[in-house]
Amino acid sequence: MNQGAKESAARLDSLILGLVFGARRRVGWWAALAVSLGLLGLFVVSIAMVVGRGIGVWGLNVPVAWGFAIVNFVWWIGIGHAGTFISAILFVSEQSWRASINRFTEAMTLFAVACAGVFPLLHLGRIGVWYYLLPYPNDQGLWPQWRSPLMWDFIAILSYGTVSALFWFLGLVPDLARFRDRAPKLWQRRVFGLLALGWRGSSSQWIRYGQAYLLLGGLATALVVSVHSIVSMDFAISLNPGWHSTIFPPYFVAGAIFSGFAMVVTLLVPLRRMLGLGEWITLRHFDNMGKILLLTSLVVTHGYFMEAYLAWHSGDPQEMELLRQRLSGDASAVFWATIVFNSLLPQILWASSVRRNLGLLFVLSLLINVGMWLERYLIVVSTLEQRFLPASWGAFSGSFWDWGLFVGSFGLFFTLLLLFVRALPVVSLHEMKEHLAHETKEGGSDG
Amino acid sequence: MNTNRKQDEFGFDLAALPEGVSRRSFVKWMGASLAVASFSGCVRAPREEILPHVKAPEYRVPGKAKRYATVLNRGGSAMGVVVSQIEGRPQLIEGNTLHPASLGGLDAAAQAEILNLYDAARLRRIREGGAERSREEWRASLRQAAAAASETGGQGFGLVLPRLASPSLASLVEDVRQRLPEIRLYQNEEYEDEWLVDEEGRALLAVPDLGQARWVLSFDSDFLSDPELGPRLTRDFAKRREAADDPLALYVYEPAPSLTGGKATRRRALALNAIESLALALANGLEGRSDPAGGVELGPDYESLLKRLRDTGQGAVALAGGRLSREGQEAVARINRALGPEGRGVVYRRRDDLLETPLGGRRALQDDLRAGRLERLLCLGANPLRRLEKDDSVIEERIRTLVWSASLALRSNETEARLRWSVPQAHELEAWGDGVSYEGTVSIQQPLIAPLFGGESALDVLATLAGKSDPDAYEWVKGFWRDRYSGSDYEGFWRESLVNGVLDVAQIDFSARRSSRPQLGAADTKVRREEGRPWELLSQPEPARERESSFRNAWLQELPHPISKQAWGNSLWLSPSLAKELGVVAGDWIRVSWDEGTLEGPALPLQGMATDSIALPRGYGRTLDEGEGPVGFGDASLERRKRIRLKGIEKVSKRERLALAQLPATQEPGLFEPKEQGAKGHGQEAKRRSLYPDYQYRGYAWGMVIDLDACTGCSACMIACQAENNIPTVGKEQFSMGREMNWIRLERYFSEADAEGDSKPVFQPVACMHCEKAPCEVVCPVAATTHSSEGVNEMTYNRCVGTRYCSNNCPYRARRFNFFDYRKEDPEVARLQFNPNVTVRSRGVMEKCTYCIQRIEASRIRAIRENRRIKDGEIVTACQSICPAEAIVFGDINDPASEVSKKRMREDRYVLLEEEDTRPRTSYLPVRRREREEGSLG
Repeated sequence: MNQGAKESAARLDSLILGLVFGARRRVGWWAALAVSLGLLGLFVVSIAMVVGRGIGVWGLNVPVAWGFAIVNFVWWIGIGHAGTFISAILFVSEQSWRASINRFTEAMTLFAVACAGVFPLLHLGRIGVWYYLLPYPNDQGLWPQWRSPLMWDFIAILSYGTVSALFWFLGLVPDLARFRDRAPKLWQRRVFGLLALGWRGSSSQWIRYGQAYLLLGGLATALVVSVHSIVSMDFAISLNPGWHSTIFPPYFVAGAIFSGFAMVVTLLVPLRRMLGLGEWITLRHFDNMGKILLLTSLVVTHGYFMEAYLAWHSGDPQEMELLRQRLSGDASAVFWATIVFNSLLPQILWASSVRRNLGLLFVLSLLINVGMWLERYLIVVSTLEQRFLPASWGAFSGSFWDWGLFVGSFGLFFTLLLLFVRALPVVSLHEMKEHLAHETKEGGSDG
Repeated sequence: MNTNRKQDEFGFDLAALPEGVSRRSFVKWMGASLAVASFSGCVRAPREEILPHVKAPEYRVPGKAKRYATVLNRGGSAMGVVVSQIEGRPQLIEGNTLHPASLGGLDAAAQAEILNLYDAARLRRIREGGAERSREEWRASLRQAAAAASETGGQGFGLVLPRLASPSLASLVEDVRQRLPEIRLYQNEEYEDEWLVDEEGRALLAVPDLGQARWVLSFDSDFLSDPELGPRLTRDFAKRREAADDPLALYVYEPAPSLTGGKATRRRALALNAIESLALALANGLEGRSDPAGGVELGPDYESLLKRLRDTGQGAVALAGGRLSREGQEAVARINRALGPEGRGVVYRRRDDLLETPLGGRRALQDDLRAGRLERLLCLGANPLRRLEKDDSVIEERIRTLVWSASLALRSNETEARLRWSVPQAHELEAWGDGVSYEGTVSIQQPLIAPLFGGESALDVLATLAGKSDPDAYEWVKGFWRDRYSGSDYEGFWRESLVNGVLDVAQIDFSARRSSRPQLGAADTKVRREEGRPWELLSQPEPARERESSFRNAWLQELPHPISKQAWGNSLWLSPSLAKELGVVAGDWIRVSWDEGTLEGPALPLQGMATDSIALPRGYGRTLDEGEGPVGFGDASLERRKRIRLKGIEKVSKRERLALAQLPATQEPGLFEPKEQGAKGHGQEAKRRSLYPDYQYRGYAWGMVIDLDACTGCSACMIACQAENNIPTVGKEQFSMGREMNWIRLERYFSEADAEGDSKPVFQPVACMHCEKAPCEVVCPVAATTHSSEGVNEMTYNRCVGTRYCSNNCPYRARRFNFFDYRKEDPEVARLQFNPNVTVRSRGVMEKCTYCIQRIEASRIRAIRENRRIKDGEIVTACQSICPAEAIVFGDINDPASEVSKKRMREDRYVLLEEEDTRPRTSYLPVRRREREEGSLG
């Protein structure tokens, strides 16, 4: 490690430690936390309404028996995918530039999964008997229906949450040990000591750590592909036109990574400035993320196109009617907004100047987030509204509590995120140091 | 509420356990008594001798329904019904197959009477000017009033009756008239439609004989949904149509779409005035008058109709709707008379020949009140003061100054609120009586339950008024028919009459509803021309909900109108072309104005409306419960006049969300049509390959066939299902959101427009199809909906967690979800109606049609006990049982000899959405388009 890298590593060290242990008053942080807590309150009230009064407080009906809860679930789960993608796939494929952002994005994944997990549970008509979904032994010999995609979904989400948490925690261990060693107060040392699980930093520990991390990375890599594939089967297995499609698994995975990276950009642009991480989270990172956004946007666009093409090609009147409704019918506003936000606007990312313009990138990422939410709304709600027998057609509009729960879920997300920033190392110190050392050996970066 | 339920369950108050017993001591004593109990082997019995219920009383099986035949008064005609009674509670009203007015079928409103019985808003106390009184005080006051009136021979005593269907009640009225000769009697009809009268002034009801007729020509007559005639005529009509070799043509000229119009071989939407002109001209033409049309342009149908009428002769029948003016009514009767002797295709029967002289109507009462001719007023089950029009204050003042007044009513109403005495009335299912049907069949009305709220019947009150000491309705009715009995074994005759629900006319000396000839010639025969644009506002009959008792019935309010598909309210129907001209869509408000008034309300563009007619379903604008806003809107003068010439129509900048069961877009003609005959059905569906093996059925395999050609769309099946299966109502707001709970729905579409641009409503009942490859079954993560060994798609409510995936994956959208606990608001008394054999569903579970699994199981139990197979036709689902058209057939499709199997063999049978390969157990027989068979007119 040369002198510059050493200094950079030392600066990062003191910055991160200062974030947690420093005495500086952070008005911005407190203000953000206050807003988040307010939203969290809305979230809690919305949950209480649903649990207390029944899911009738939402705008659901027959035929639109799934609504915001499923849209939000798919959306949040999708967001989580970027974190796993960065920490697992980029790790396995040895993209070391990920080191400065992977901790943060993993945390984002975890919190997004936490938000997502709330929705399917609340979505049940009878929350009190949610455990019927578990394959537990009982005197009546009742077993779940293994042919139901909801069952697969339940298991997929459970494993995704578990692996993400383990992966994140394992990566934290060396840094927790460093916190333990540097924490000024006894109770802090104790807490971090407990969490560090006796990490000493010995060579044998590092070797085992490396093996375990790689193993979990491999597992998580598989999950990046499997989770959203299975989520997509909730739709693809059904016989509804617009859902019953083999293109759904890859289309959903690409969409998930697309929205996830958009969320990473949305969060990192302000956070980088707020925490002063500009030296380590560089324009190169944004440039790379811009490229991934562009790529996944193209894949998603391909999905949109193929959906329409296959509907036309099949000649199925139900599929054609769906296409008509999307292109020019009741669903056209949502459809065209989706196309603009997810397919057309991201094309500006072909220019490297755009990929390195943080302001523009931030706005674009916000629009992509909106676009991806609308895409899920289009898939879930607009598809259910007008299918099959015309007399059974209906319409849906979200109620106050639909919106309350959705907006409130940001409260949970940001509260967790803000607490994380102040309580744990937001950048992986040990990986960053390794990366810096590595980089100087290779002859510098472009950042 | 909770403690109440505990009380009900345990029969004593749990909270009243002795105080001062701590949990510790309670547990201690529990332990001790348990120990003692295990030593002694039994718990201490009461000292007195008690007897176990080991030998049940004969015929009493808990949970098993007993069925009693009785009658309901439907607007002056008795309708024979059979009421199921479980544990002493009337639970379900079905048609009486032995009664000629029903033949087993029933309309929606008659069935829903069961809910009126358990209406929590029924009057419960006898009151005088607000103060509670005892029954003795009431009787004394009534006797006193009668005695005081008799001093002047009954002068100034007014008695208001509904249209009578009861001969014994009518004889009491005559007794009263004998005691009080000067008494003024009024007959209150809720809607004073135009009736022809015979020479004696008796109102006449035209009853077509659909077995004889070859051609029915309806001038705005919706006879298939008539509350008195509908069930029987629907049956006759369907039967006649099944005989394919002798087609019955039905031509309907109407301003607004109706069920009858939907079944027409030719239907034309015309303004009411144009229909009258057509009838007048045809009558003039048939009678050979010169210049029959009087120079008025009658449209293309006139000449060909006239020719065809002449050709058909006696086989043709003309029918007039109640909205037609006297001229129109007479013209239609003249057509029938000109075609041949009345009685071949149509019988004119007296509607009110139970009393010796016909009675005055509501107008006469109002005139008498206004003129101060009344001192005492008694209203028996009638609400004549609803919608007082002019001179309100005069009449109000007269009513206030009456010496004595009383009302007998089920619920509080405009009359009850104004009169001094208010006496709760016993429901028809709570009192003895009798009734005569529109065609003269006599039945005994049996009480199914003692009066829930201690009411009196009209018979009780009249007996008191007539001066009978100790009036007993049972003895009076039984005695009345004993006097007219000509046989030797009256007790046996009486028992048999009660069991069958009809009296054997051969054994009694009584006749009513005799046929008669309408008196003609009073009305103008000239076709009149109306100047200017023929905008008209019409009062549209609403058979299911227009009557006061039906209106305040949640089942009926939530039953979507068969054609407009609107529930919980009404709207101004107008033709799509007029709507386009005005720039309004469903829910936009419009204002219509005429010389003396205006009316504002939401518009509903409706296919099949005459271009310049606007129709408002009548009877609306009343409140359901005190303190609530009115449901829908109405206009008193419109309801009286039935038709108003409009000066103008304009759009108002106001919008309303109508509670529509179908999107307005589904009105597009030909959007989706039940298959037609000839469009090759699928006698045997093509079986596609599947990864999963087919189910094997060794025993029964239940299936259903629905004949769309027979179905008129009357929606009676929806109420039958609701009553049988404990289906809750959800209210206007929830309904508007698309959360109605009906397990069976009547889908309404409009047929492809014909050459002249006219389109008719067509109907398709849809419930769970019980698919062989049910998409709902595989997606439920907890296997709460499963396939039975007999092919029924079963729903296990207590396993359901409410993911609603099954609903999303059902291409028929046949499933319903309990978004809230819709039973929470139910009053305690309404729970008495529940069918104990069907689970009451809680919040958060899915539900749907079960093929009336409880009825299947009941038959199975019976069959097993008798060691036999279930016979074909033994299981009758609720919807099948009530269907006046017998459009629904249910049975074992494994048995090739069963009725349902025979229908399934038909070449043109098809299943809905066959391309989804769900292989439904319910299949359909197509609508036959007779227009083509017949060839078009002219």
